[in-house]
Amino acid sequence: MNSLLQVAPGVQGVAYAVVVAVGGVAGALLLGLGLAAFFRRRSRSYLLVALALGALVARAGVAAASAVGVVGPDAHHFGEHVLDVVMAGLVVAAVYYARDVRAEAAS
Amino acid sequence: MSEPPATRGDRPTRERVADYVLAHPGLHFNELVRRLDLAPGQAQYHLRRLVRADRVVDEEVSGRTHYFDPGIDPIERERLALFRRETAREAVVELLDGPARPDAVAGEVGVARSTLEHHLDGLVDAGVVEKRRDARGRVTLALTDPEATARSLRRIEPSLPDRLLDRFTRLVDALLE
Repeated sequence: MNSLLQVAPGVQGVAYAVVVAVGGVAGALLLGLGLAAFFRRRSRSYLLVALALGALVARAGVAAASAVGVVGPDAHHFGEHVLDVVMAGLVVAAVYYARDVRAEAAS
Repeated sequence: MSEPPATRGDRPTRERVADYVLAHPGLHFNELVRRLDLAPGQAQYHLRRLVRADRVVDEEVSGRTHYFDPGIDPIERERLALFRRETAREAVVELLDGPARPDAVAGEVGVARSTLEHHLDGLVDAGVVEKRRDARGRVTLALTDPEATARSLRRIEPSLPDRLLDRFTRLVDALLE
């Protein structure tokens, strides 16, 4: 998506907009599922998974913001990498706490 | 119990809610709101009055409020509420073939053990499933009343969002395992 942005200003702008929109809608759907799952289970792992999906949606948000010029290309690039770090961290934490809960249940 | 007089405009909506609950026993509140396309406040208002008039009954099962025809007895209500969840339903369908070990059921249904255990908690509490332990303490799952269970299952069909949510939690459980 980033490389597309760099070559995107002209004709590929439409393709860019479509990709961002589809990514945003799919991400929002997943976030909805993640939140519903959290409200059903109410476990820390599910909260972290829902937050990671939130970061995915935020990524689409940053891309959209840069498309309309609210965010500059540098901030866009940096922002997406920060969100990658956040997402990875949240998933790692979700896995960590899932292990914790099982250890408690086993003892 | 006296019901406060309803205004004319309320009537058709309330009848719609009542008819739907009677035709689809065991749906939970959010599902009713979605299917009937009502505002949550509106649904709550009508359901509360229907409950007060004893035309429907509400039952809290695993943190959700489900609605029923008052003619359905309490044991059946709890069963129907649980069978509205796909994983619980499929695990029970597996056990209709006869008692089985938890690992085998989880494998057949295609869920992680933790997902199965979560649903078993509710099924055991409701007296649908029993955990039998042999001399070495190994657990076998069995239906307490297979015929009643089969009858209840026939009254249920799942909704798409419920199906999606069940599958999502299964996937996450399997990934975190």
